[in-house]
Amino acid sequence: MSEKQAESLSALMDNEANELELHRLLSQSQDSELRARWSRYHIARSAMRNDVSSFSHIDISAAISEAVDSESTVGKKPWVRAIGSMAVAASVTLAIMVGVRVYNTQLSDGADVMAAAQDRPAVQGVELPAITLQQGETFASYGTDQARPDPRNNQPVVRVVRRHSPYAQSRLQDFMSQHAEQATLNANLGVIPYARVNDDRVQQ
Amino acid sequence: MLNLRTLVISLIWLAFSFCAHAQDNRSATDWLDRMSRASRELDYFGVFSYEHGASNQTLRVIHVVRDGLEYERLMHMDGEPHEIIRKGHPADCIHSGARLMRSDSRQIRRNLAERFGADYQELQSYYQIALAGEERVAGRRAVKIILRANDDYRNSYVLSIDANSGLLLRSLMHDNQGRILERFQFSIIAAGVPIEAEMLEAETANPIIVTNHHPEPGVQPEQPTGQRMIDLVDFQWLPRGFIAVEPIEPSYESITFSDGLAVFSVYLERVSLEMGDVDGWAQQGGTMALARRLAPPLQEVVFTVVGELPLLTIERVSASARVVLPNQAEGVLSETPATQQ
Repeated sequence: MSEKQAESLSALMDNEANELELHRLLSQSQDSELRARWSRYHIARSAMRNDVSSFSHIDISAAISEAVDSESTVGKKPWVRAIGSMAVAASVTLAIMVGVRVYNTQLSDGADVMAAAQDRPAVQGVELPAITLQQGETFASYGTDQARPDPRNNQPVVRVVRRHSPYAQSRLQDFMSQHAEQATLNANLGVIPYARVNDDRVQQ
Repeated sequence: MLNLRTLVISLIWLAFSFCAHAQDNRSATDWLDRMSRASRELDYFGVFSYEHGASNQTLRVIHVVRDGLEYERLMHMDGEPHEIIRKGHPADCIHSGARLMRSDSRQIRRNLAERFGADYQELQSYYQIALAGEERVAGRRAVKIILRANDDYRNSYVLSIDANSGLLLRSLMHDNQGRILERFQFSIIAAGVPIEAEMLEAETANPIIVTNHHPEPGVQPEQPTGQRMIDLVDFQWLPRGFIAVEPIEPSYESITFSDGLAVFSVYLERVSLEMGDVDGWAQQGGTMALARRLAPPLQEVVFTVVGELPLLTIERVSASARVVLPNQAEGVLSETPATQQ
């Protein structure tokens, strides 16, 4: 039994196996070692979930298999099965192609990534009215016990700890409008820097 | 006969390919260069929206150049009427940060490279710059340019530049995960049309008038006398490609850095301990701010970084800054630094 099988089996037990893994396990289920381990895992899982039954060690798979074999196979003509398996193969190929296409798009064309991103909502916290300076509210955490955003994913955690002092706020407004003038002169983005300055912020 | 036909066909093909080429031979950096000039040199007026998060504002802008001086009037169309009027900046006075986008900036780059070592390169080494086709914005044909940050220390931009005038018609700023931080977009714009002088006059009672430029080109604003603490700040880390730009008439001790596209400023001020806690961070659209008190004995000094950069960058800049006092005595922080004991 390969390590890969063991991994897939383990994943299956944790409900984390994907379809390919499941198919692989099923197709290799004649392997006695795999079957033994599968059975052990099942018992262990049941035990952990407190639903172990006294019958769980009995392997009824042979009996079921026999019963299935003896059933009539109405409508399952050989050619239908052949087409069916071809369809599966084709769809797998298509899936792989789609996967590669998306992957390539992301790597080569920033526009597509960015366009896709447009459809996503903005940073969650930004939607909250509490963080707009316009309303004179705290628009970020101020204070020592603040929730710092995780700079690594640049996701601001907008948890308002307390209103910061009017003094701190007015300073920040000043800084932002002075910064806007410098940004106007030192970045070639036309009027954008001043558009960023909220009107209430500049007004003293 | 056959040869003649081949010749004619080749000539026609050549002519066509030349025409097609002539139209599209501007590279992305050429367009950026053109944009950097258009916004300062042209007369234009228009209406645009500025959006970040759930906030969306509409503004009107009028920009003219008279006798070589730039005048700009910006008016908020929603909410309380507010105006910002910028007057008298010489259109040909290009500050260092703005120069970094221009194609004739070879000399300034060379100077910068000398000053900052071989580390300083051109804009393309900090952003992946690419043309991304054409689109229609504000009823005009626009060229789309993507500037994707090469590192996590700056944001990325998608700019749409008017194919006729070179003016920036739309700008989207993205963080490094592709989320849009801010969206700026003209809905109507007229460039190169005569603009009446009265269009520049304030309509509201209390316009904000910005004239804090150096009065004459090339003349640096007067610096306050005495030792400025900002000059004592040692930045042990700065994001690559950012250079310190010319100060404008400062009401605070400050220094500003630009990489040609993104700008951040650092402010120092004394805030007495009684004023309470001022440490914290703030975000509005793409603008991030981080304030912290310096460590003793400078705990009365608040160090604030403001800029259109990821918080990661702002935090690193803030954490890496040290104030190196020539005299470690506590008296160095007296109210008037010039008269320190």
